[in-house]
Amino acid sequence: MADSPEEIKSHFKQYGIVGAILFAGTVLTVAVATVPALDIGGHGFDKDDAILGMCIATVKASLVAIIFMHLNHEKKAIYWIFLGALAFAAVLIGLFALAMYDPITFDTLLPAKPGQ
Amino acid sequence: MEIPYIVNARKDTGLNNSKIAIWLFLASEVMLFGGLFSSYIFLRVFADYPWPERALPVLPGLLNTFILIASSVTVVFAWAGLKLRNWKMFVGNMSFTILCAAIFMVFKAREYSGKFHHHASQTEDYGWVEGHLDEAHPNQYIVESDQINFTIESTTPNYLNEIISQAGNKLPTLAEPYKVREISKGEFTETVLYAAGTKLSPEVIATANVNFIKARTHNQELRTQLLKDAWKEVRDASKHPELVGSKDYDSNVKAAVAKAHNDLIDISESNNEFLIANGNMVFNTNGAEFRLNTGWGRISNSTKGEATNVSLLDGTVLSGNAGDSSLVYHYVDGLDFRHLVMKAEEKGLDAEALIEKSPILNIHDHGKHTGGAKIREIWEAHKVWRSFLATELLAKERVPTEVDLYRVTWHQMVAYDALKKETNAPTLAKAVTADNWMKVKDDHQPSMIYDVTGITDEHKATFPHHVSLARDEVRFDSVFSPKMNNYYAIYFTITGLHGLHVIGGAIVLGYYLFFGRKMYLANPEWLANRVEVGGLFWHFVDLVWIFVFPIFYLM
Repeated sequence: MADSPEEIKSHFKQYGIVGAILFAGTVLTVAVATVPALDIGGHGFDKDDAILGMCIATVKASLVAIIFMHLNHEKKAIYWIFLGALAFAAVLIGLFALAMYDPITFDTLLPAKPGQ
Repeated sequence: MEIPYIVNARKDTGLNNSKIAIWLFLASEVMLFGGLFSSYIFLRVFADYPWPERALPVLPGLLNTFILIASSVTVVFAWAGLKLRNWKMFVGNMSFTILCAAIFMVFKAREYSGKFHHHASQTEDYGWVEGHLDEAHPNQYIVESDQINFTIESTTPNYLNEIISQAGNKLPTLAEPYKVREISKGEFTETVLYAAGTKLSPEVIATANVNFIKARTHNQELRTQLLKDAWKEVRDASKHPELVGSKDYDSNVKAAVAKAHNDLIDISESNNEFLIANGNMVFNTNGAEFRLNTGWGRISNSTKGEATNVSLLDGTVLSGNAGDSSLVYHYVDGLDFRHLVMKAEEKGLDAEALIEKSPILNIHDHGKHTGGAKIREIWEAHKVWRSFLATELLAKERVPTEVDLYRVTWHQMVAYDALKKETNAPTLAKAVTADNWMKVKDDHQPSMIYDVTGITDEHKATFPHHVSLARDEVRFDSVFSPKMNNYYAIYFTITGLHGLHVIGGAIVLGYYLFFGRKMYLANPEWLANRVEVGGLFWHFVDLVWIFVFPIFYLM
């Protein structure tokens, strides 16, 4: 934890750089979603665009958590709390995977199209 | 007594109280928003309607992202100012942080306001029209009523009070006497509870309902007893196993079953021991006009002057002649046939043919309602445009999306009109050519310029105006509120909850800004600790928005 005035001052440049990266990341997110030349995968929005968008968002969120929220020099107890929350959140999001691979629900909600 | 470890760290964990507490709180917030995002994924993947992609203007969301990032940077510098015992640095940065929060909420409020004033209607064939309603023409079911039939058990006070209020001094009167057959000390009496001509009131409905429920309960118990008795006879007839297989046994049982069957018919038809109270009450309204909220039920026929019923959700039916209940748009700024196409494909029908037959493209213009022809003209132009788009994409081994093919946005309406002016073509369709079609952007390329200007009067001049939809062709209509569909429900839930977090965080940080001087002078490390913890919450709020923005605004 940065406590001494010298340590804190030494981080000012880092905060500024991270802020600039976050701004740039936001512009990049909009660009890959709207500029045709940067449209990966099929035309328009598809899962490739979703994955790319979420990757950029995850990098930005990580920078906020590590630098601004000082997770890069926190104590073990905080890491346990944070990682525990992440794990449960991952399970929450991952519940979707269970539904996708449940043959009964999947077939009921998304019946096979003619010819499939 | 001073609480320990407020500022100084515990020896075992190396942390003070508030640090552990805020991280535990943030862990719970991760679960809260994680659950909501998980809900979003389920709703989107399993939606039984085309998901509204790119339905929100990008620029406000982008600006809000910049604002929150900037505030995240300044809240760290505010904390650093306290650690460096630089009060001015703290005040300057914290003031900027709170200003950012206020600007964020202003943009959010403007966005919400725009949604609540924008209207959309779905026709019976699942086509959608979007725009702004004509405020001079009420969005209501209008019926010049002859009679109202109340299903008294389910009549809701809301609807009943509204009908009474609109009737004014012409209260509906009971069409026929309301008779009841009651039992008292074993004796049946028939009375007229309410004479014909009794005025409608909540008490009349409530009293009749009490009698109805009493009668129904009595009759049900009586039927149950009669059935039990009949079954007992059948059971008794079958109690002689020594007769099994004999003609007598079969005929005895069959006779008992037949008797029970006849008893059942007698129970249904005979009412000697039954009580009587009608579950419906019919009132004459003598042509009183009622104007009812369209969300309250359905209208059977909205052709002015012709017979119609308005059936409310509680079972009340108003019968009479339709007033002019048509849904009138001041201007239309969006068309969407994706849901129609989806339904057509499910049934194996020709989607394009169904679109051509859609009431949206075949609006009967009359009087000052002349926008129907313009809608058709815009659609013809869009068909030409999308054929050029398909050709170009095919060359790159890609295909147009459903949004490209079946959704017309206001940007595109403005662009078609611009092409017509440029080329002096007689129609919008003839204005779109191989040389200029690319000037019309597809829906995945939002125009930030339009996000800045909004819809101007110049733009509105290019839209279809005064579009009248017959009410019985409208399946559903709403403003863009949580009621519209799951997308807007989850959008308002997540962004609304996030907005409340912004307000809460700003209040806490504002408290330290405006009232923290005393604590700073007494114990600056204490205030620094408080601001650090408040800052951690603020970063979390920023974190959530980092995911909200791409998910809702760009996907």
